[in-house]
Amino acid sequence: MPRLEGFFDPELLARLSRLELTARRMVDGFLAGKNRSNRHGFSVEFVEHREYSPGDDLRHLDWKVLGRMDRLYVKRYEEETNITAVLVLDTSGSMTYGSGALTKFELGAYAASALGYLLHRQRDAVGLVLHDSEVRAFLPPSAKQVAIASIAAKLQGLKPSGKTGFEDILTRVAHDLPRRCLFILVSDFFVPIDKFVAGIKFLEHHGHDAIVLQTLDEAELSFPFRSNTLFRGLEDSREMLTEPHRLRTRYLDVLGRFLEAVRKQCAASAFDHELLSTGKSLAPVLSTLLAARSRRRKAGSRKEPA
Amino acid sequence: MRFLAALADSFVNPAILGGLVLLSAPIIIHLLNKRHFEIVPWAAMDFLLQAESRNRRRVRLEDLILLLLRMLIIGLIVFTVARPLLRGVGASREEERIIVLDDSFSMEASDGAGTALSFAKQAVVSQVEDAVGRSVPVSLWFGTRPEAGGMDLAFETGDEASGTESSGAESSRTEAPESAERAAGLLASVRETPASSVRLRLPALLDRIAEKLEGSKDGGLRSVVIASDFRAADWLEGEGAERSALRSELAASFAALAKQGSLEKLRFRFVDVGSSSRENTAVADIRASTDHPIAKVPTRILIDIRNLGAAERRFITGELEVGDPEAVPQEPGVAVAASSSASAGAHAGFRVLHRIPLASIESLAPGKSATVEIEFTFEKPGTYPVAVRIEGDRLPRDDGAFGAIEVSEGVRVLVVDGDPGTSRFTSEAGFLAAALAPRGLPTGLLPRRITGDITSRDLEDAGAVLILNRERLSPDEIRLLGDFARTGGGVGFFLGSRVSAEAYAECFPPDAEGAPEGGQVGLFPATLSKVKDAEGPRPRLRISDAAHPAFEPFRGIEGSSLDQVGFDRFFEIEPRRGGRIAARFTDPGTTPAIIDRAVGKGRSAIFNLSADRDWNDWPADPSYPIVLQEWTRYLARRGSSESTFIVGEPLTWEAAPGVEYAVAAPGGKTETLRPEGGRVLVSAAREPGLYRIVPLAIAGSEAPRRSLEPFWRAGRLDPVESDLEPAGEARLRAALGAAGVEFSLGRDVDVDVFRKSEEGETWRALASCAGIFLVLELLAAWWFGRR
Repeated sequence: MPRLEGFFDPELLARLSRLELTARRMVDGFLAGKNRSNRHGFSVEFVEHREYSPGDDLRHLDWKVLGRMDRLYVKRYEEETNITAVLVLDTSGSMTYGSGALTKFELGAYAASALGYLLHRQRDAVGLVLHDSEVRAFLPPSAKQVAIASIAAKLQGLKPSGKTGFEDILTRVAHDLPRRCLFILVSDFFVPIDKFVAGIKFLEHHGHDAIVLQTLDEAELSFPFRSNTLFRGLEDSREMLTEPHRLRTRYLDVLGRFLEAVRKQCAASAFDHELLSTGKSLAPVLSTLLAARSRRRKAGSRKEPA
Repeated sequence: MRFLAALADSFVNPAILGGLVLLSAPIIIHLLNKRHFEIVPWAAMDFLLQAESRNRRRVRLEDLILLLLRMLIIGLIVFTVARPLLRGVGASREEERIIVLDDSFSMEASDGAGTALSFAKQAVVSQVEDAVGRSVPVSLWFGTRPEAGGMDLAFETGDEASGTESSGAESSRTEAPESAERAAGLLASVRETPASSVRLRLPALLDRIAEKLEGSKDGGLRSVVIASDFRAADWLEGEGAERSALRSELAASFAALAKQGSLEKLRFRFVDVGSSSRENTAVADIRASTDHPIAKVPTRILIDIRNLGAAERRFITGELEVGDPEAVPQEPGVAVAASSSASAGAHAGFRVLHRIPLASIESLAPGKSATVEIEFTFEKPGTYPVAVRIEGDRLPRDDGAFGAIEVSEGVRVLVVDGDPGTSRFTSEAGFLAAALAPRGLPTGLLPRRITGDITSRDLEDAGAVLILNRERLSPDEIRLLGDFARTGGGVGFFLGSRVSAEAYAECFPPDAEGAPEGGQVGLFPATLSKVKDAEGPRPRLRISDAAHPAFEPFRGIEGSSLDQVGFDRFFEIEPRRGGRIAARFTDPGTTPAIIDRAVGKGRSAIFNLSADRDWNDWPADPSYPIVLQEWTRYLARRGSSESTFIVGEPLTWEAAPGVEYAVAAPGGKTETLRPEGGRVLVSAAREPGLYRIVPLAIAGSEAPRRSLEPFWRAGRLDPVESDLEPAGEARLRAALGAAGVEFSLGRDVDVDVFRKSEEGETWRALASCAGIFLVLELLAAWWFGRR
């Protein structure tokens, strides 16, 4: 492993070392042949049966079950293949906010780096997209040794700025990617909710998997301000002078509804969603995320038709 | 200007309204707050703006509510302190200000900074000026002249200008310019009025005010401002530090006001200009040591000096002046030029004959009196004016006093001999006359013996009548003697063999219930029974009333020769109502020996013994002349008790028929007065000093010679005014509180506060509202900040 610095936190990596990052999407059947040549070292694992529906590909029928039970079932497999992951890290101006030791960008960078490192260790392909409203940097997914170092180098000394983009970014990035990928989205997602929903649905529609890591600052979550405060926008010239304590309840309500909408959409799209806070430790959150993904995968693979 | 005046009139503290500029304070603070803020770069602007837009209306409403509440609180606080007046809503206007200036002479007491009167005048002037400035009618009274009524100053209002109401005869309704002129006159009278020599007459003043209020048609509020030194003697009953109850006359006056329903409409404001010090030394009295000073006979002039203060007074000196009794105006009714005597002042006709320094009083303890005695021999009969003055203190006016001492050539004693003998010492009167006027020894007693009936001429210049062993008296004689005694003369009865109990019982019937002389006490003070001869050892005379003035020479003396005198015969005798047994015989029945009693202004006495040696051998004893002289002087007509009077009280004397009187008062004013009802009355004798009175025979009348002799009368200050002990607020409140009288007291009574505090004060309600709104503001601020 190349020597890594910057946002590759050794302690964090050590804590995540025993975990693996798996793809979660269920694929039907076994994709062999056409894609096999493209995939090195992939394997599929039988997960479950489902009843035959008219129109299903007969090649997926489980003849053994037919013989045994005289009923038609198709097999479903979990595609155990090398993951092609893309770290999509928001580098817009809003990510520069930090009320404590870390900014949201730094938190997100740590999280993305950790997951990227994990994937790389699993010999999965990892790429990087840095964006604001435009793609500012793109490293195609690669399992090569230098990939992770390239990612580290890209993240080093980065100064986030600009407005936040989402749907357009995903569309553009996905277009450049050859196959379904695991998108690790790291952002505060301070975009209109409909844009967010559109982006998520785009990924879902195109068969991608996604882990949504929403990074927020502790102050954004708790809004602890009391005295007269002039809030100045980080991505535009908007500002507002107010008595924060009189807005707090309403603000938290608005924020809460936004976060809920994000969470709901991610759940609807079967994407993992985690809220990362600059006020909390990253390791437990990522550990929980990875363990949950691993459990879900194992639980899904042991199911058999009755 | 009218608006400002109305504004000033509607608030107790109108100047505080300037604080309304503080209403802008919450706005300014609100704006200033917006200038101080932190700057926070913020990522989640969308959410903030969304929250703010949803909050905006509510926040503005909350801000407005808090702002209004704060401004309201500030406004209420300002108004609370400004104390607005809500007339017409349970409020009362000051309909009139009754101002009393205490001009009694105690107000001349000075503490160096000024007299109490000067401070009182300042207070009264400011009260009058304030009332005039507010068009509040004023009634100004002087405390020593309640009979003069108040000096009223009223103002026309709009309604009155239309002629709808008539105020009454006393007040002067004037237009504005005339009001100013009259007010100036009022103030001038205050400034110029000197201290009177008369006592403060509070009860009479209150009674006059009650009369005035009874006649007034409105039932409005009146303030009564009394500027005085508030001495205990003016307000409290009794003497000394123990006094605490309100004077009974004052209590009665306040009760009358309450009964009338006026007391509740009066607001008493006391301006106490008195000093806390009570130090004062005064000349309390000047008099002769005897009731019958005799010309050419040494007598003593007694001067009482009293220390009314709380500290010892040391080395008190002074001077006595004895004036010429014959210093009369050459023409009646014409004032004589003032004498050169500085201490006697401008007293008409007072010409100093003698100036005698007083013996210094080395030490006079507080509350004590000392009497200085001056031995003096008056050269001739007459009424001698005397004046004494001691060194001055903080109240100079009572450091002097005047007197008039009537000196006679002697007491004329009419001796009615009921058993005239052939020689001097065989008659009843021989021994007695010799005892009264031993040859060569001036006793001041001038006996004149008669044997026949007593006539009015005989009694004309007599001081005493001694009736010796007279068988009976005619009705005319009894009438004359009765009049003589009732007008101050003295009658003594000596008994003897010619006296019979039956005859005297007939002459002098019992005077108990159904007294013959219309209820008056009769002349004869006892009832005679039978004559008794002494049995066994000869009875002696024992003084049974050692305090009797006639036995003064024997007081404290044991074993006088009186104990040696034997009495062989006397009447059984019983004193009548009012009779006093002065001496008894030592017989087994302790028969009364001397009985006397008052008869009108005079007295009568019975000597149950013979004036000669028929029934006893007393005339041979040395005690005989002493006792008889003392008893005769005791019985004799006193020097006129009317020779002195208290200024402010009427100067009066019994007039002789056919005589009018020219009275020259201190200061030179003279007037001629005729008697009414047998007396002369000088009603306006308000100055201390010597009043020279010259009787003038009315043309065509036959006035007795004696009644045409000029005489003096001395006006003295009321000694009560010399007591400067302050009543004190605590005692005043206790005493007046018991009478249901409330008052405010202070050295400088705040006019605005006192006047306005009655008129619909609202500050309490405003303060309560401010408090409520303050709580509301706090709750609102907490609630709004919580959300």
